[in-house]
Amino acid sequence: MKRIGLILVMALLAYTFTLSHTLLLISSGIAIFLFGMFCLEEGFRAFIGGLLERLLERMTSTVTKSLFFGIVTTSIMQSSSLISILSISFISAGLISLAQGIGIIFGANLGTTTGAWLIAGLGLKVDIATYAMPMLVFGTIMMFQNEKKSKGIGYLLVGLGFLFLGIAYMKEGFETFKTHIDVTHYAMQGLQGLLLFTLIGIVATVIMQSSHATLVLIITALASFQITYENALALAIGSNVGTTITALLGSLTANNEGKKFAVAHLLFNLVSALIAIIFMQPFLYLVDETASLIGIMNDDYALKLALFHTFFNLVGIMLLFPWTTQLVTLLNALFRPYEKDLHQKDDVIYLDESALDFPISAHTVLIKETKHLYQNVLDIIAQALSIYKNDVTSGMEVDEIIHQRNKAIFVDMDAYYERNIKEIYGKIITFAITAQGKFSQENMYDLVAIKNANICIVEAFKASKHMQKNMLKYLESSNSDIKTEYNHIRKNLISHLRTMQLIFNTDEEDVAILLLSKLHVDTQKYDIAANKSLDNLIRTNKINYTMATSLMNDTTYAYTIASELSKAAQLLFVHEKKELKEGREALILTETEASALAHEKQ
Amino acid sequence: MSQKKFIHALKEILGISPEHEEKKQTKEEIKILMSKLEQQYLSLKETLQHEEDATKREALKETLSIIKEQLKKGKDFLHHG
Repeated sequence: MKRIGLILVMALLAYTFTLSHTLLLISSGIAIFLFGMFCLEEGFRAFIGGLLERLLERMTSTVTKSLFFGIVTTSIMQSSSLISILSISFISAGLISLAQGIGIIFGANLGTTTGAWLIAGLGLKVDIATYAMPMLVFGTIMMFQNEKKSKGIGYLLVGLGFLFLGIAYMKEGFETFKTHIDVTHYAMQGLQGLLLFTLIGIVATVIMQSSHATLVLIITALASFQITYENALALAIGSNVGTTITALLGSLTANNEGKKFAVAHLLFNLVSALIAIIFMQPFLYLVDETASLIGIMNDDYALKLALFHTFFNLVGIMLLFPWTTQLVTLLNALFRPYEKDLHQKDDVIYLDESALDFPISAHTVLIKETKHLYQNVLDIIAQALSIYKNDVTSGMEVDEIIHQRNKAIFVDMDAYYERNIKEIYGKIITFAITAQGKFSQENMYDLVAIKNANICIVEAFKASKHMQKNMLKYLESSNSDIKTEYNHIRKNLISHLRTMQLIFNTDEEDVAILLLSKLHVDTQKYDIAANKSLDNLIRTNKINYTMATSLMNDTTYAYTIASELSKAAQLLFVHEKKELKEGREALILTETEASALAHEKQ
Repeated sequence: MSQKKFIHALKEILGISPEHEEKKQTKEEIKILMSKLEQQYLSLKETLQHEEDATKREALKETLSIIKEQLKKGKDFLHHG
């Protein structure tokens, strides 16, 4: 259906182009301009991608700072879409709060108005097509370079070149247009005109997915007297509302937080538009007065439109920014977190496609989701030991837990795997592989490490599944010796799981480093202790050969659980923060060092 | 914020810290972690002196030997890393 629609639109456009060369000129101008925007965004991603993420991480600690971040970055990059996508990605990953994101998008709305100033001030008054050609040549040369930054500069130059060329084509198109037809006949005055042209502005921006493209079209048409000033203002209002479609589309693949952000963006632009429509006359007066004050000619409608665009966004910020907290509360009430039924399949919480846009957000959500998976695995390993997850997290002494849970607890581990592990594990691995293919080598190293942590966690689950059968059998056994041995395994693993929880919950880096080393040492002690007691039990005929084989196998499974979980904990801890990776890794004992220490103590 | 600190923060944000500076920073971080571990070592040693429970004494001794090994690793890294 979609394809048929596309073919129809293409055919219609092709037919229109055969009828009017001017329309072809304007349409190609729009197409070139949009392609320029695309190149510019790509350039910014490659050239200052890392910088932008670092800035966003550090310079948006308060909502006011976020507002200024939005204004400055959008003014420089001339793309509120890029800032909007970046914000959704960071909000979804939990790197910035919704309030900070709202601050950024409010700022971006004001920042994007600088585009109208540039087009009206420079684009129309200077023959920018002259600059476009060399930019395209130099840009293309740079684009073919291997180095990422050079490629980024290339994209930026090509992007700017195409933007300029697009504007020039549109200008030329409208100039030719006015010699043939006077479209101002279709101008509409009053509220009816205001509403209709606002709607046209919305539709045009939704189709082009760029308020900048709509604004260029409006300004060039206005400069060629193809539309009236009042109708141009209405179109500009419409373009402001239509631009929220980028955030809305971006949020479709985002989690609840991303969706809240997109709705906040839409609300802000809708309210600003309503204010502009209701108070159009005072706005016109304000624009006229300010224009004469700063030396804009009375008939320079293009610059006056830019002024109007800035004013109504500024008023929107002034009116809505103080209500950011209330807006967040409202959005939180509208988008309640989804409550899961106990018997329902567990699914990923943090992974969504929007996080794949930037390495930091992809890395953060992967770490969070892995911890989510670990909590499920912890739950089932605890049950495989015939205890509960809460026992591990409680402050109860390990001996006391064993004493209280002295009966076998049966749990269907396969069913649990299907319900709470398989889906999440599969999605994490798919996400990590997709992310690996998208980002640089440096980021890939961390992503592979996190992926390996997940594999370790699931390996630990598998070992616990193998161990469960005998655990159930011997916890109910009349042979107290074998029961004691299995309780010994339980004790060790409970302590291990506890230490794991401490590592995940502590903020003290030195504590985590010490606990990780302790985990490794404890893991190495499994075999030594088990072998000693096993020899003794066999020699004194306290257990039969079946029991001995089971105990040997299950000691190995217990060792696997401990060692895989220790590996996972270390990978997650070391690779959680890039800048601390080397320092953290340097102080944690390696397997060999831990083994030497464990043997020394025996 | 001092001028030096400001330049350092700016360099970090811009991602233009040269390799030797990154190494220097890692070493600084390790030094901080080591001093924290040393403090832990001293405090655990004091606890050990007052601990009477044999099992707990063993566990404390083991933790102390782990910290000792970690500090040794840290020193090695600072000298040769």
